[in-house]
Amino acid sequence: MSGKLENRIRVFRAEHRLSQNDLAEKIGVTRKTISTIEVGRFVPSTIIALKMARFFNVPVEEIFSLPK
Amino acid sequence: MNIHKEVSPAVLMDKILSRTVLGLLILIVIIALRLAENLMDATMLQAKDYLETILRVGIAIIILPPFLRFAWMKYSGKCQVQEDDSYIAIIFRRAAVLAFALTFVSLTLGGAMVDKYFPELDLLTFARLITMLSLSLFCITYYYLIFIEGRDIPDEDEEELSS
Repeated sequence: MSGKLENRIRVFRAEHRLSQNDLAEKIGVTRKTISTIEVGRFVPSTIIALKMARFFNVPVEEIFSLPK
Repeated sequence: MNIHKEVSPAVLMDKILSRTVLGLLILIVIIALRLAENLMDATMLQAKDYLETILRVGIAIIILPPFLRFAWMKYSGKCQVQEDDSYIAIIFRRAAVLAFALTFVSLTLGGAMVDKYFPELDLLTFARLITMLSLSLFCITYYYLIFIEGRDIPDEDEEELSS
């Protein structure tokens, strides 16, 4: 659980006008899980990352990336 | 109107874990009562037995409903939750690992100290003390990680989205 993973979940949520709770329900996790991933407190499993990518219909690298 | 709110398996899983920790806190109280029973008279012992029964029933009431609901979801194929998919599950595991490590240290050091300074301490009391210590460490670590480490995690951001 290091914070060494950047993400653009908040941006994608805003584009789709989704709350953390909405997104959590769509991909089958809790709101707490989404909020902790967003702030970099929790590094998601590959399954969550892929579910998000599939939900937003983008490659997973567009949501998650390693810091340059 | 559907009066039974549909709960997602992920939320249910987190609830089971949170309630398990709550159940462990009650268990710590039960063990503490058992440790104190040598200091009690007959009346107090009777009250202790009564209280212990209430606490045990309390544990079952706290843990069983979400657990049975989750088990039913799993059985009926409605549940595809992975353990690694939850922040709470990760915290639970971190607390468990830390508690295990500290229990190991306590057993090693405690065993040596008991032999030297409290040779008359019986094995059952020693086992209860170590169990209570181990469970306490687990609960403290869990709540520390949830409340202290997680205090700066923002809550629901509905207003932000609507602005």
